[in-house]
Amino acid sequence: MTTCRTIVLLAGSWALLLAAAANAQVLITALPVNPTSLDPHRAIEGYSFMVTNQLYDTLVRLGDDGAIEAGLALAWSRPEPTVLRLELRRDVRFHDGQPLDAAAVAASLRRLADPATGARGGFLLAAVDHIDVIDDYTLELVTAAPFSPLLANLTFPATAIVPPDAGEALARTPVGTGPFRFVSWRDGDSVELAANPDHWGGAPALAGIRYRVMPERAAQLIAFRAGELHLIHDLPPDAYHGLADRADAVLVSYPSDRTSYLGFNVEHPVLGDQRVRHAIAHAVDAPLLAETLFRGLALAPTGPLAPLVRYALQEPDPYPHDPLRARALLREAGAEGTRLTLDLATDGDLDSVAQYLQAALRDVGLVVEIARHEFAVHYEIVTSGRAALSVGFWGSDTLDPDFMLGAALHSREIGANNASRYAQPAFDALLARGAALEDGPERAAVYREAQRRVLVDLPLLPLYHHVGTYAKSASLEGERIVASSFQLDLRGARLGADGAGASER
Amino acid sequence: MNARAATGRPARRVLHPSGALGAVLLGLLIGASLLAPWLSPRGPAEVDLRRRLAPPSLAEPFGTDELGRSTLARVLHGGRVSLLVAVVTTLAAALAGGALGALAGAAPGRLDALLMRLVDALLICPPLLLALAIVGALGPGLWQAAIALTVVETPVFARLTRAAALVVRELPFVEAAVASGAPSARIFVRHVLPAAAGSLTVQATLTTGFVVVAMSGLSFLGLGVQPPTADWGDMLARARHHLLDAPWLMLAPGLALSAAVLGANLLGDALRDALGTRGTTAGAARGAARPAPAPRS
Amino acid sequence: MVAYLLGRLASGAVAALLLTAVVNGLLSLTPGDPMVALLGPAVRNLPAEQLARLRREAGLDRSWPQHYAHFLAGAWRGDLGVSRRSGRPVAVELRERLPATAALTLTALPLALALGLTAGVAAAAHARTWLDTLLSAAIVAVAAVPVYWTGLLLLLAFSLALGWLPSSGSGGWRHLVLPAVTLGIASAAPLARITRSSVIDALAEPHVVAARARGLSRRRVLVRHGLRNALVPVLTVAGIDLGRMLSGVVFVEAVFAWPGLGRLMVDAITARDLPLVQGIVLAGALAMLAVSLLVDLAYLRLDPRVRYR
Repeated sequence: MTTCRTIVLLAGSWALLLAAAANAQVLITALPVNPTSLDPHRAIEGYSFMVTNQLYDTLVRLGDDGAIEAGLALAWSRPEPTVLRLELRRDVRFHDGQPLDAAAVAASLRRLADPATGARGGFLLAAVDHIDVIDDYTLELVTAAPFSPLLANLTFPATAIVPPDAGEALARTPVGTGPFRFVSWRDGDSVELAANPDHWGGAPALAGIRYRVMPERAAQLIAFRAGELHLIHDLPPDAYHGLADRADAVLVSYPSDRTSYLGFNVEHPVLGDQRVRHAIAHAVDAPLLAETLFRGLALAPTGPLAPLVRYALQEPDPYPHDPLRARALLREAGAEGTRLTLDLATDGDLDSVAQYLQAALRDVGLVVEIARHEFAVHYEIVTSGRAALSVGFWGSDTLDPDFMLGAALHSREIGANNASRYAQPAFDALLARGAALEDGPERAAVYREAQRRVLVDLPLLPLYHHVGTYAKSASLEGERIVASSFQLDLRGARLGADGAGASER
Repeated sequence: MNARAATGRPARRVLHPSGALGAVLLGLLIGASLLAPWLSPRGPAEVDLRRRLAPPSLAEPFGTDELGRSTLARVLHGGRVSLLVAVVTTLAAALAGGALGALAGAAPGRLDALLMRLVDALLICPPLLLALAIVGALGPGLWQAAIALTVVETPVFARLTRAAALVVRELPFVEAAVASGAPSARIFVRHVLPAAAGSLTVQATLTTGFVVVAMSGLSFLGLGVQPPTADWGDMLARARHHLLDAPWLMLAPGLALSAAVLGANLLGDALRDALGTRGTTAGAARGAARPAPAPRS
Repeated sequence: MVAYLLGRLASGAVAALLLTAVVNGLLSLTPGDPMVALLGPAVRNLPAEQLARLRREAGLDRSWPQHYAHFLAGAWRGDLGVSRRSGRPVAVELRERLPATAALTLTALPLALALGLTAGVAAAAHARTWLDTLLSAAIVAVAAVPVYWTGLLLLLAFSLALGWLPSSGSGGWRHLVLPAVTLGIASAAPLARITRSSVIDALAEPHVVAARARGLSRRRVLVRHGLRNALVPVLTVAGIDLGRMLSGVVFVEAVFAWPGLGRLMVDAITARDLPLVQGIVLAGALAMLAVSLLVDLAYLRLDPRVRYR
């Protein structure tokens, strides 16, 4: 017994010793996947952006309330409806010492828009016809037609500005203007960043960030509990509430821009009947789902867009849970006992939701079979119109309503993102009008009408709005939530001196 | 049946009590699975979100899962899936491997060599990699996984059968039978099969246990059964998401899975002793590992 | 002897060729657009024509025999191609990940041998006693637990409850302990089983019984005759086991965030990164071949009856 305790003490003091040796101001956090690329134009999955957001800056950023605030651009204006003029910050340098000027920014934006780059975010600049450099610190983005979401699009992490000489090498040795600069990347193990003391927003308080690649969620939780991580993101609800007993852990939740949907293929012989779609909507108890399965870490749907998104509808409980009405509608449509397939991708967290839907629809007399496929196969099934029902989520990362509504429901996206195969000329016309209008009451009215149309036509059923979560060690202070997924602003973050931080044992 | 076997044979052939225990364990598991609808008050897919993650109680001895489904009901019904897949996979692998091995054993040197190279190719590939590639090609699902595991397990059975065939071929009376022009099918049934039966049976019991555990590995990687099918391996893989907040979820599937593997292994060991396959394990295993030089060429 | 080894090498090469062909064919059969697999949900933001162009550029319009021929031609020159996912040479990716997996398996293998042989010999020496039953049950119990659960339970005990060892990641030897022990325990079970039965068999051989009759000590008989004779099948199983071990590596590396080839393989397969998968398959097959050759050489030393023509 005594020996045992001595060993524990020894091990404990050793851990302390090592912790003291390591720099106390290095934030340690987990990434669930090995990033594919640290070039923001070539990064693929959201977690890569978690890292690139610290390395690079975008021209404009999203503030706390979703308002657009200055990034590398200090000011912006629209001298004409088709021209977005940007005034750049002066004296900004890339980590390698190159100055940031209008020519560099134009080169970066052109690289992003160039199809040869294969950039994920290229579509964000699809409306831009050409870019004019006015002087060293002024440039203009010219669109063919008025396109008001353009400024919001420039908050998207994939539009971050890269150096003018950026090539293939940027993927492994990133160079940006951001608050942290790149130190090392051990493939499959960790990415290390160090503070950039010359950042235009002031030197960060942290000395650096260490991202550890940890694919297994349970192991992340154990590492966090064991004090080896300061911060873990995207906790499943049960894990989040499971940490409530820890005095040294702080749990944070915040509304996200994402919404999960049950998609209907409107070309399906049975689902093509609007009554069937409404019956399914009334069969699903969305508030119960948010309350129980998500334990409050999801919001019951109030419309097609998350409340955080600009001009989002705020309809309390648009489809009240009413199995009797659902049955009546199905009977009316002659769809009782129909067999339907519900498609989902294996890599998402929607398994439980799909199984709840299956049970809820069984209660009103619909037989649902779940088909999980790897993402590539799932995508092919869904986009080719072979799916009947499908579940998935959409983010509105720029908080502009055009982002999701245009991508998921515009008829031009049939065969691609419009898995519902929803084609309503009146809806398309509303989107076109909305994109041309400046922000204001008129634009708001257009998008509200578009959303109401979605609620009635019901090409997809909003299931719940996501709530973002993270858990942090009590020693971490000053981090700021950016009103969009995968963005935690760590410029002001620091680790308290109470020694309760993560240690490199 | 086992009791009879245990009493009616000479000392060396008696099924050791541990073997009987194994048989009883497996019997209980199979029986419970077959009687699942009568043993469990709730259905395995009965969702009740208001009762999710309930700890064990009198009504729910193993608690409820993340959708409020009864873990007891799921384990009982899951046995049907897990055990059926394990048995079918093993039988398929034994049949395919046995046929391949016998063919190689009876075939002329060149065909033998070709078949064995194919078997070697499968043997030098880490089994999981092969299974992943196959499941990738077929898509996730119960039977796709079973096919993948069948392919992975086949070469071992092929090696075992071929080793037995080679040994048998050297026996004087078999040589005589071959010389007198007896059809090879008859030689296979009369001589090769009985010689290989012992090691094949043992291997089969081991494979059965292995398949149950391997299915869990595929579920860990998201390539197992389609929900809401209950399968022990899949239940166990999902339970890890609640390792810290609902640790009891792993209990029931873990116990069932361990009992199945234990039962299969105990039975396998006892059969090995009872069938007098002494020595063949070593010889056959040796044959399984390396391409034994063809004795006649 | 030399001729035999050369023959083994040649047949191994043929087997490796066949294997890469099989894997190549399988992955080409896989439904779904590899480009979509590669990009994941991000494809939602790519126009279709751009996707088609990327597909062409990545050589995805080639049929699988063409693909395979391309791979073989490259491999002959020592060029394993470029990973579609990262755009880096496959050889570089392998070189980066190999040391971690090698360290893990080379630590776990002796551990598994030590554990397995000890448990097996102990059980055999006390065959059909309560100790045997207990050991055998323990061995089976270990075999019944999926590797990832063993890992998670060890994590709970040694990193969280006791705080003795780091939970994950790579670094000094302390980071290696839990992954290696997990893999070692999982791999020890089959070794223990085969050791037990082989030793029991060996002890029943006439010459061993005779030695016992001559009055040699129990321990001496056990080690000299029992274990020595049993080593041949044990080695064989250890050789086969390496394959299973390489499978276990996938889970251990995922649970302990160990940056090795196992995780790379799973990522490569989900992303349909054919060049990378081929490279890993080849590396795995070569490792297995090397081990089986070593096992063969060990037979020669251990068992005078074994002759290679």
